[in-house]
Amino acid sequence: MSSLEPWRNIVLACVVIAPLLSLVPSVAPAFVLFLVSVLTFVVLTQAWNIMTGYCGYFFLGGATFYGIGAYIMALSPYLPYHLNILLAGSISAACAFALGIPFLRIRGPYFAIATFTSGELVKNVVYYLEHELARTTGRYLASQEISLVYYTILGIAIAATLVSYGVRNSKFGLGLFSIKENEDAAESTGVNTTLYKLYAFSLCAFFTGATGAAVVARFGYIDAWVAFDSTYSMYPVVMGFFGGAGTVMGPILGAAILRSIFEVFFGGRDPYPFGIALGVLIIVSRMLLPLGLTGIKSSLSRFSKRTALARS
Amino acid sequence: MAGESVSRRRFINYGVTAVVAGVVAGVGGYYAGVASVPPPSAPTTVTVTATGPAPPTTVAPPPKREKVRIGRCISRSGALAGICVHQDRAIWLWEEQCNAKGGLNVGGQKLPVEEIVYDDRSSLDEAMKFYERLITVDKVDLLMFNYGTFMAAGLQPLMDKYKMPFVCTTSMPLPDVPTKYEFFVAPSSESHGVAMAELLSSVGAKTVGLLVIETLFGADMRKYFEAELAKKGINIVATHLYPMGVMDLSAPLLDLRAKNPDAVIQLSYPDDALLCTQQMIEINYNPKLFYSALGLLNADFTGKFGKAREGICCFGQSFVPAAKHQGVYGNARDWYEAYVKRWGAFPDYTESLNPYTGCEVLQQAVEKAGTLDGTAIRDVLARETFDTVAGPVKFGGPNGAINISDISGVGTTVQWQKQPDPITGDEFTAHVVSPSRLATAKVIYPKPPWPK
Amino acid sequence: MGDYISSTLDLALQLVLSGLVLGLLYALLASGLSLLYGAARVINLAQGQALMLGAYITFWLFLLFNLNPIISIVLAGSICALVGASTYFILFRPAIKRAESMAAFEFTSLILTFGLVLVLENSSALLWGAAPKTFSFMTEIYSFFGLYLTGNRLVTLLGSLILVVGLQLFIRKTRTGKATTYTIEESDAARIVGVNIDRTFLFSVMIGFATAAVAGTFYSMFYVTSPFIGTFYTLTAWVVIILGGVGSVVGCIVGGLILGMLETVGVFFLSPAMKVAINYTVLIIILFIRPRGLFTR
Repeated sequence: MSSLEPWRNIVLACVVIAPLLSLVPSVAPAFVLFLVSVLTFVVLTQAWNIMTGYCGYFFLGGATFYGIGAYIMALSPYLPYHLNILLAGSISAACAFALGIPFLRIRGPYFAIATFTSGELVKNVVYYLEHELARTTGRYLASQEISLVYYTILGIAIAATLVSYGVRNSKFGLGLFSIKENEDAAESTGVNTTLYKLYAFSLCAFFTGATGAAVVARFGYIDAWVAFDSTYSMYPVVMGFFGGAGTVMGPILGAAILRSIFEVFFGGRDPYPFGIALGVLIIVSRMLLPLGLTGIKSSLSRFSKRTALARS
Repeated sequence: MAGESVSRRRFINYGVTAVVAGVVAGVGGYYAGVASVPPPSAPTTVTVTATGPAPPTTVAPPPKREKVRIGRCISRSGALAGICVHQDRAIWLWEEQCNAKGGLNVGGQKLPVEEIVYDDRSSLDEAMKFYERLITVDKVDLLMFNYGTFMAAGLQPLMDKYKMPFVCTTSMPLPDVPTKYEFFVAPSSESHGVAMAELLSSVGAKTVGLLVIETLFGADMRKYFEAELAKKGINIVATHLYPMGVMDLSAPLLDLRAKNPDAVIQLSYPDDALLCTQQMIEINYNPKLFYSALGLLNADFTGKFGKAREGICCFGQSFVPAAKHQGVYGNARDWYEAYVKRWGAFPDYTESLNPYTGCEVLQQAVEKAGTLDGTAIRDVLARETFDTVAGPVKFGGPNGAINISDISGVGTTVQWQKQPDPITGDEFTAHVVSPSRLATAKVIYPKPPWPK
Repeated sequence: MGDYISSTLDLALQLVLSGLVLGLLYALLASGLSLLYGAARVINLAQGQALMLGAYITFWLFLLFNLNPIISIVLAGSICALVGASTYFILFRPAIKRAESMAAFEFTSLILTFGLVLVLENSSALLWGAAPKTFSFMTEIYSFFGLYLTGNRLVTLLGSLILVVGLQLFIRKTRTGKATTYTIEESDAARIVGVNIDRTFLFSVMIGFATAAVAGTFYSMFYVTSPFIGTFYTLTAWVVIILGGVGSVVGCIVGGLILGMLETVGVFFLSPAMKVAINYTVLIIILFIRPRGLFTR
C-alpha cells in the first residue's frame, strides 16, 4: 500500500487520455454534457480522497465547500470566470482552514457526522438568510458556454490528479498516511498533525469549491438547495471507496465508472434504482473488496492466502 | 520473485487503465454515434413526359414532420407532487382537445401534439438538467412550464441561452429579470398585495400577522404585501417563515393567537394552506380575517373542510366559470364543464386555470407565427394579444414578460361565502371581494366562527 | 369550548407540553441508537431510515386494512426487528469476524449503514413513490388545565415514555439486558473467547431497529411520511445520545427532553424554517465541546 504507484499510469491518464478528451467538443459535442458530469465527480472524489483516503478522516462535507464555491461565483460578478474559480477555491480553502481548527479535533465517526451536518446546516441557514434579507431565494450568475465549462473542469480534474499524486509521494503525504495509521503515534514522532490535517482539509476544500464555482456556470442560477446538494457529499464517498481510497487512480476509476453508469442508464429517469445499486455496491465492496478496485490484486491474494490457510 | 510481482502489478495497473479508457471510449462512442447520425437523405424523383425534352429532375421536399413534440417537467414526487396533479390535468385536457381537432396548425399543416414529461422531483437542480436534456438530447419542438416561481427564475438563463420560448404559468411574474424568452401569464404579486391592502383598509383592519412559505413565491409575495400594507398604514405584528413541506405550524399559530391581529395572512402553497386551516381549527383560533394564498379553490380543500370554508379568503384571479371569456375551445363555462366531465372534479381556479391558459397562449402564438422556430414564436408572444378562458392575455411591462391585461392579469382576493353557486351546484360560492372594480360580492368581516 | 390560552404562562406551558411530546419521541429513537452503539459498537447511520420504515408500515396497514396504528406499533416493531436481525447476520456478524479490532468494526459499520441508508431510502421511493403520504388518526383534542393536546400526540407522549422506561427496566433487570451493558467494555476480549456475544449483539441490533420503527409509528400519526425524512432524524438521534451519553437510556431521556425543548422554543421565537438549523447547530456545538462524545472510551 505504501509503495509508489507506477508513474506511467498517471502520465498515461493525464498526457494521453486528457488530450483525447480535449478534442471531444469538436468531434462529439453530444458527449460534452456527459463528460462534464463525470469530471465533476472525478475532482470531488480526488478531493475527498485527500482527506479520507490519505489522512484517514471520514469526510462527508463535499456539499459545504461546493456550495461555498458556487455562491462565491454568484456573488462576484465583476471578475472573469476563471479568476472567480480561483477565488472560490481560495476562499473555500480559507474557510476550511478556519473551520478545521474546531472540526479536526473531532475524531472517528463523529467527524463524518459533523461534516455532513455542516453542509445541511449551511444550506438551511443560507436559504433562510436569503429569504429574510434579500427577499429572494436564488441568485443569477454569468452563464458560460458548455464547452468552456467542459475545458475548465477538465483542467481542474487534471490539476487535482497531479496534486493528489504529488501529495502522495511527498513528505507531506507520508505524514498524512501516518496520521491515518495512528494519529497519536504520528504526533509523537514529530509530525505536526494539527497543521498537516489543516492543510489536507484546505486542499480538499480548494478543489471542491473550485469545482462548485466552475460547474454552476452551466445553468446560470443557484439557490441554496442546488448549491449545497447532499449528493456532492455522498456520491464521492461511494466512488472513492469503490475505486480505492488512498490511491491516485482509485477516485478516477470510481467516479468514471459509477457516474458513467448513472448517466447512461439513469440519465433520463428516476435515480432511485441507481441509489439502491450504489448502496448495495458500497456494502458489497466493503465486505469483499475493502481496498476498492485498485486493491483488487491484494484483496485477491489475501483471499487466496486465507483459503490456502484454511485448507492446510 | 520481486521483479515478477512488480511487473504483474504493473500489468494489472495498465489493465485497469485500459478498462477505464475503454469504458470512456465505449460510452463516448455511443454518444458520438447518436450525435452523428446523418439526417435521412432526400429521395430524388425524376419525372419524364411522354413527349418533349425531359424536364429537370426534381428533388422531393425534406421528410414531413409528423407531430409536434412538447417537452415539460412536472413534480410527480416531493413536496409539490400534490399540487401538480391539477396542472397535469389541465395540460392533458388541452392536449386532448387539440388532438381531437387534428392538432396544432403549423404553417397550414395540422400536426398532433405529443408530450415528453420528466419528473423533476420538486427540485430545481433536476428541472434544470431535464430541461437541458429536453432541448439538447430529446430535441423537442416546444417547452411547457413545470411548477413554481423558483423554477421560472432558475430556468430563465437556460431558456434565453437556447432561445426556447417559455410560457410560465404557475409562477409569480418576475418583472425584474431581463428575459426575452420567458413570459408570465399569472397576475403579479403586486396586484395581489394591492387587492388585499384595499380590502383590509375598507373593513378597518389595522394589524396583520404573516405566515410565509420559504420559497421564492413566498419571498416575492411578502415583498409586495409588506409594501402595499405599509402604504395603507396597516401594521404587521408578526412574521413567521416556514419551510416548504412543513409539518407543524402550531408554534407560529400560537404566537399569532397571543398577538391577536385583525387579519392572518398566510402566503402559502396548497399543502401548507390545508395544514394551517386544520391546525387553526384544532386550537380553535378564529381570526377576524384569514387569507391563505394557494390551494383553497379546488376539490381537495372543499372536500376536506366543507362547511368550515365559510369566510376564508384566498388568492384568486378574476376568473368565474361564467360565460364571458372566450378561449380557443370554448368559453370559460365550456372549459369548466369539459374539465369536470373529463376529471370528475372541478378545476382549481389558479393551478388548473393558468396552465390551461398557458397552453392556449402557446397554441395561438405557434399558429400565428406559422412555424416552430423559437425566435419567431417569441416575437409573436411579445406583440400579440391572446384570447383565453381567463380573459385576454397581453405581455408587456418592464421586461415585456408580464401579463398586463387588466382582466386576466389582475390579482384578486376571493372569499368563500355561504351562497349556493348556480354553476357548480355547491352550497358555497367563491366570490371575488377585492379589488372593487372586479368584485362580485361584498366581503364578510369578521369571519364567522368555525363550525362545531 | 372557550378560549384555551389566555396568558403568557399558559402559552409557556403549552410550549413545554409540545416540547415534551417531541423530546420523548426523540428519546425513544435515540435509545435504540444508544443500544446499538453502546452494546454492539454499531454506528447506525440508518436509524432515521428505520423510523421511516416504521412510519410506512403503519401507513400501509392503516390504509389497506384500516388497522389501528396502536396495534401497528407491535407489527412495525417486529418487522423492523427482523430487518435488524437480517442486517446483523448478513452484514454485521461477518464484518465483526473479519475486523482486526472493534474500532475497525466501528468504522466498517459506518460504511455499511451508509450503504443501508441509500438502499432503504431509494427502495421506498421506488416502491411507494416519493410523493408524501399522510393519514388522519386520533385528531380529537383533549384539554386539561387549560392546555390542549391532540389524541395522537397524547398517545405518542405516553407511549414513548412507557417504552423508554420499559427499555431501561429491561436493561437493568434482565440478564440479557445487563449483558448489553458489559459488551462494550469487554467486546475485544470477549470476542476472542467467544462468549455469547452473538446473542447479545443480535438482541441489541434487533431492539435498536425496533425502537426506531416504533418511533416511526408515532411519527406517522401526526406528521407526513415520505422516503427521505430519515436523515434529519438520524442526526437528531445523534444529538440526543451525545448530549445524554451513549449507553444510557436515562441519558437519552434527558438529552431528548433538552433537545425537544430547545427545538420547540427555538421554533417559536424564530420560525419553523429554523427547526433543522437549531438541531444541527446544537449538534455541531456539542461536538466542538466534547469531540469524543460524552462517553469516552
